[in-house]
Amino acid sequence: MTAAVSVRELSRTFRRGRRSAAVQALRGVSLSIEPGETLGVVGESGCGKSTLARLIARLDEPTTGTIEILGDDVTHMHGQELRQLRRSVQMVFQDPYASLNPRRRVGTAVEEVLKVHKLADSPAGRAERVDELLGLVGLDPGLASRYPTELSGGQRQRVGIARALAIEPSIVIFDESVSSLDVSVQAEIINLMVALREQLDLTYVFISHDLGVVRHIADRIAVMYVGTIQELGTWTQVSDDPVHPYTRALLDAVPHMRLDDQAGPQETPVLGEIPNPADPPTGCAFHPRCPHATALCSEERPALRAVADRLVACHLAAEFVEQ
Amino acid sequence: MTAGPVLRLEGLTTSISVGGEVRHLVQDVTLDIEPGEKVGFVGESGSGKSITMLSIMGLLPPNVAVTSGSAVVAGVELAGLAERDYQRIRGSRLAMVYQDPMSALNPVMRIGAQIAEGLRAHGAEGPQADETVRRVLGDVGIPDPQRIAKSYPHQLSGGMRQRVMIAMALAMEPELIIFDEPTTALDVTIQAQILTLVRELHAAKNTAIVWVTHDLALVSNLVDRIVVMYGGRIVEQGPVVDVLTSPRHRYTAALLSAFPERHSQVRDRLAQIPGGPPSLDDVQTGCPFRTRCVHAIESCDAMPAVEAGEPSHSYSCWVPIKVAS
Repeated sequence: MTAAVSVRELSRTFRRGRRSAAVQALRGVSLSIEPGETLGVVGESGCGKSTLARLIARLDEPTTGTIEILGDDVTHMHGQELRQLRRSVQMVFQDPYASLNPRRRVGTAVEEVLKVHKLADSPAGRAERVDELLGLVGLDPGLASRYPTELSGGQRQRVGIARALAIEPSIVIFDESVSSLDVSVQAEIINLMVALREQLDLTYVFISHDLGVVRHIADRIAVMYVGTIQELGTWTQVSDDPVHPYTRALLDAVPHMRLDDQAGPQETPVLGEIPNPADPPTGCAFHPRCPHATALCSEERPALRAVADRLVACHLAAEFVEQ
Repeated sequence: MTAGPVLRLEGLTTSISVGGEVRHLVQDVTLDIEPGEKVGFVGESGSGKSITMLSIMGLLPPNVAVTSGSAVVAGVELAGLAERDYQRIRGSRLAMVYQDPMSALNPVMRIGAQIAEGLRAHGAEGPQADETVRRVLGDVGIPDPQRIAKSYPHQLSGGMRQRVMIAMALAMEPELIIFDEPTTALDVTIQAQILTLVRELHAAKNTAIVWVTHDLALVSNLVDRIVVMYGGRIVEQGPVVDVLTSPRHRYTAALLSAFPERHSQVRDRLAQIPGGPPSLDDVQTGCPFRTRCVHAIESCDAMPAVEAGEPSHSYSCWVPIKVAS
């Protein structure tokens, strides 16, 4: 079966003038996503998760490496070809306040997508399709005449999803799409995403800093740190039985509801600061904060290798599994 | 130190005036915070938690004001207090740490000078202020206080800037520090470090803490008592574990079940709360949650009285969840 998304040795370096150091946002990332699969990508600031999302959507071009979408090499596509690619890959952004034009009615915002991609040729056909799309994301078609400011945060994010689905993509990338929503609203958007995935046979890339949310929606999870993948496995492997010390630190840092008076508060999981991507540590990016680091960890960057049925980039992974 | 609570709110009501019409942002908030107590204020956007804190700090925007009720800090009535007198209390008795340290710190002033500025305003002399600056920067776990005192805010990471804000709040040893979503903008491993720091500082100094957040799990690891706000009112409050394991108010229960379960092996549909939070245009009588509550009855059109359940666990609901006895 052809992978929906396949990226190999993907790197992206941003240069800001001659004097400042280049920011290595992504440093050799390889992964593939099967059709119908949801890949969750988690990590903290500067880990490269949004850069990866933008490269897969080809909103940006990699410095080195290749990107294949449904078997086609799209790494350096441009112009008309790139516009065709947009029909397969769509992105939903974090902030529905910022991604909708405040002076354009909701219906017009959705219709615009149909016009740009020349879908539905008559105005009547477009209006019908707009109603259909709003219905698909659980919005009353009556809302088409409203402005974004008249909608709640959850309704606005539904409009963002309707716009992405308007051209019937097979792959949808969600970049922190529920992060700015209140918990009660977040739950309803996540439920909608799950329902649409089943109904329309979609492949998702779900990017978030919130492991709790990713755990709820992803089939597999990639954990990123300073531009590299540290661990990649099924959602239960990564979120319940992690091998990489960084994955463990990240999980330990996620607050757990304290439901027992006897249970003390959570301990501090990991010390130190997240490295600057303009000056990443030598060897393993996590070694300066890792309690298990050896001399080798500071010298040689560990490859992503198969350990305990998943992929882990850690020199000591085999030892952790034996314990 | 004065005897009695460090903060006493009685029927605190804060309102906004829009085009001559008065709408309540916070209604009838009553509670005491005892010396050394740690209290979490939890609620979603528009629940009134931040407005309650700004009312206490006397930092409300121009068209918003405390319209009735009282707020007493360390024996001083704050409602209607003149700005001059407020300045004497802010910093020395009462301090606040904000969500975004980058906008709370002056970008063109060195860290040390910013902390010392507050100390001098409250009467500290030069060398004495510098000494305090170095001490508090050390207290918040900043590795090289001498060097950091000479830095500008943009030269520090987000986590370090938030440590500086905490140092600033601690500088005059207030009785109460209000933390308004102080870790929301931070990465999760850095958030855990700040949480540990605040826990250690509390153990050492026993300053009363109010921690405002939308994250129930986070605050459960820090505080003794949780106050749940919705639509400008306190709907439930009590000891952390009581409120989280046996919530009585329908809103608290609905909020708890909307969280993705972090340990479950099955991934069911998440529980949703129908509709959205009340807006200022909605009718402001009765239970604010009734329009979204699947258990609402006719009585809910009137605001329910505060019921005391277990000791120190109270709630305002006509159809509370029954406790299995």
